[in-house]
Amino acid sequence: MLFVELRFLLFFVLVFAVHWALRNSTARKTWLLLCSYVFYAAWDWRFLGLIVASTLLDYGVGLGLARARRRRVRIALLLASLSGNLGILGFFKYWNFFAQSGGVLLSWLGIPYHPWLLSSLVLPVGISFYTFQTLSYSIDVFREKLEPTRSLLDLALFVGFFPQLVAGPIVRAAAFLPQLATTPLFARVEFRRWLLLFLVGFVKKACVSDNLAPIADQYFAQPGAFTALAAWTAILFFSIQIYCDFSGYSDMAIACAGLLGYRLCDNFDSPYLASNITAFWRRWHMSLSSWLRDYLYIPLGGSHGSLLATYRNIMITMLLGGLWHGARWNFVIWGALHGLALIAHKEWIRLRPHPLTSRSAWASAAGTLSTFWWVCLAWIFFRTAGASPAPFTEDLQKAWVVFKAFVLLDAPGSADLSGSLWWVLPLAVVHILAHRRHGIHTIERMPDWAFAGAYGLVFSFVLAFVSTEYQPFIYFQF
Amino acid sequence: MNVTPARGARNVVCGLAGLLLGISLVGRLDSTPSPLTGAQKLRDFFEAKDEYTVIFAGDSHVFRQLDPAVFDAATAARGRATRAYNLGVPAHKFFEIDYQLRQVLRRDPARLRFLILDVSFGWDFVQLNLETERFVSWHDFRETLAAMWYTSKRREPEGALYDAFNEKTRLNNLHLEAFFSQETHHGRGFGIVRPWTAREAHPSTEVILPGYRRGYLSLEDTPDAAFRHRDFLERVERGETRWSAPVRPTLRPMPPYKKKLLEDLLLTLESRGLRVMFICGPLLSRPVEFPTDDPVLASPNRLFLYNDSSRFPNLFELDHRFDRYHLDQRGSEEYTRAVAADFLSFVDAAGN
Repeated sequence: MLFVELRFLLFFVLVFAVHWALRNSTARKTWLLLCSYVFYAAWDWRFLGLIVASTLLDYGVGLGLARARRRRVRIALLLASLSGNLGILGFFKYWNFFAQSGGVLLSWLGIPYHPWLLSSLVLPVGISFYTFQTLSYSIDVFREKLEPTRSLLDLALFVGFFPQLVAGPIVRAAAFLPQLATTPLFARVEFRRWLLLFLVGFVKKACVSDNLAPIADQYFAQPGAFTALAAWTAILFFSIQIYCDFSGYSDMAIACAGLLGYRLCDNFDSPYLASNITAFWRRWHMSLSSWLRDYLYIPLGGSHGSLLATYRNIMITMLLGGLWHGARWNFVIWGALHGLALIAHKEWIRLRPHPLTSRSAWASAAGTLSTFWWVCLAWIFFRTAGASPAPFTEDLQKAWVVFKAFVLLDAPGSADLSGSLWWVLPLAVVHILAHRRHGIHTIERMPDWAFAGAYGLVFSFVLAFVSTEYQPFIYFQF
Repeated sequence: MNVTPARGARNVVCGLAGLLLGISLVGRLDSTPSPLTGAQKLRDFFEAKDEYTVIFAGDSHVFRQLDPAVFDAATAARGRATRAYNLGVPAHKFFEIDYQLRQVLRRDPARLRFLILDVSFGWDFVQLNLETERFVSWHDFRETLAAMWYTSKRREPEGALYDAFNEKTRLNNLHLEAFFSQETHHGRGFGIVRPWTAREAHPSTEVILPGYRRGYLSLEDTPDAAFRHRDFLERVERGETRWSAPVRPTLRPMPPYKKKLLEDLLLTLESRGLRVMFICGPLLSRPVEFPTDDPVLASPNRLFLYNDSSRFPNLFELDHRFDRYHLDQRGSEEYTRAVAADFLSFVDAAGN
């Protein structure tokens, strides 16, 4: 059930109506939990057990940490949570990766192995997202930054809340559990804001991302057949596709939660307009990057050690961030490229002789373009990561063909895609205008009946541009 | 925002009004050719329903191959003037044909006397159908409800192999899935840049184009005709399409529940004075299900088989074919004339 499908809209209308019709807070939360599990079961009911198991584990760990005073016991409880959650995640997500890599190594060494080693596992949808959420709960309770909840219902709803269940944003327990302790008020819901955000997300996903996807797919299916200009077109389109796909999903998730009276954290802030790579990572998938910062980078030492230690920590964080996206070497390379860029940026700040107090528009534009170019370059490895059963050497070979076309303009093919390249311009203009919030005051001043009518009218025009071929959200696979 | 129930209801009504207004505006502004639907065919038929004496029904083997103008000219040349309409819709299944014909009867066309039914249609909706523009387009809100109502109300055929409840549930689920898989009244949502790639992605997209006349449109008049025909010829040249083998008229017996469904439809049609002639077009290989054990239905005066390369050698020549499944304009004209000739013998037989 995708957010852009009519059946989700019908599902949400039902959830919304019953949620606000119920007066009792527990009844509302129970209803939301039930709906969340139904939503997840619509993907694959078999893995509901994993969410429940993860919830029960962290509920028990939380209660245990509340009682335990001895540090060794507390550490043991935290390790139980880490090993349980990461064990499940690792098993389902990384089995194929390590088994395949191990198989290649064994073959290279001439050591025979049983074929079951290479058998593929199905990846439960959203497992990376809810695992990180439950981990944040256990770690925050362990660090005594958060009081463990005594309500299993609250914790279950925190883990399974359907708007963010399958593709984030990765919500922190400290931000969400307190909201569950109070009863949301219908009168306080900012309908106009959330409805607009939902529409924006819908347009990004259904109108932009899904319409660009076939062109990018066409190129990446057979990159050797295309020209260098086609490579640029496809990579640009994929960059827009993945941004609109993921941020569109986040927008719709935040809007749905908002309409139900809950706040989820922001996940994107026009990242392609960032003028350097550090700013990019403050604006791209913010819930993951802040999670990695707080639960990985800072515990590793952050930037408090020597310069080398800082760079090591950045690299470890980005490599693991890459690996979080999927068990493919291409994702590791993607993480490494971003790690290198972050280190280079730190060096640039440290070494430049005269730090600029106010940057010129030209310098800012150059920074934005060069950052975007590097991000596009890294997307090559991200996009060419194939399905798990495919050997990773194939991924790398394909990535190399695209890399050569994009960087060296060396492309053997003659097929062209550049006819649709001009679409980038209006999309960029709309993106910049939206970032500057043009027209928002007019919308805010409208009477609500006019807003409702205009919303319906605009929605009908938007629907006309919806691709008939729904593409699954890219981040569902992570 | 403090929303009272009355204010909330007013806003919802305004929102829906805006949505409906927008949808109707989009419908008027949209210059993209509409996908062909059964509903469109029925609308066109009803515009002059009292003029027609003969209708053709079936899937693309009818829509693409039986030209009513050629048919009428052929019958008129033999002094037996007819006025024909082609109700064929690409990939129509039995359920849709059944639904369509019952809709025709409900409007009681004054002069309609004959139905020529191509029995090579498929019986089952498959997952592939859900992805076709035609199937999705057929499922706007009104048509989905009508189809589901009809599925639920239809008489249950008897038959050991037929599980009526499951079949109805399955059909209704398919209709719902088709409905939910589209968002607009048009059922397609033309992509911003999708038309650019549409031909590659949807070579079988069926649209209504200028040249669509009395329900018939040759494949040669479709947008990607040259590309598709060239592809077909290249496949033949590479030996990927079985071509030179002789084609024999092949029918295979029909399971009891299908037979019962077909008989049920025939009973309804004949009770309203419609005479039904069966044909099987010049297919290359696929054996067609038919109640071969029924001497009345399978009588040579009523069932006419054109999947026979010894009787109709021209229809199996490359210069008469558009692709493996369909004839080109030239082949269609020849085929239509053959059907018209057989139609007259059908009319003459037993005082039809």
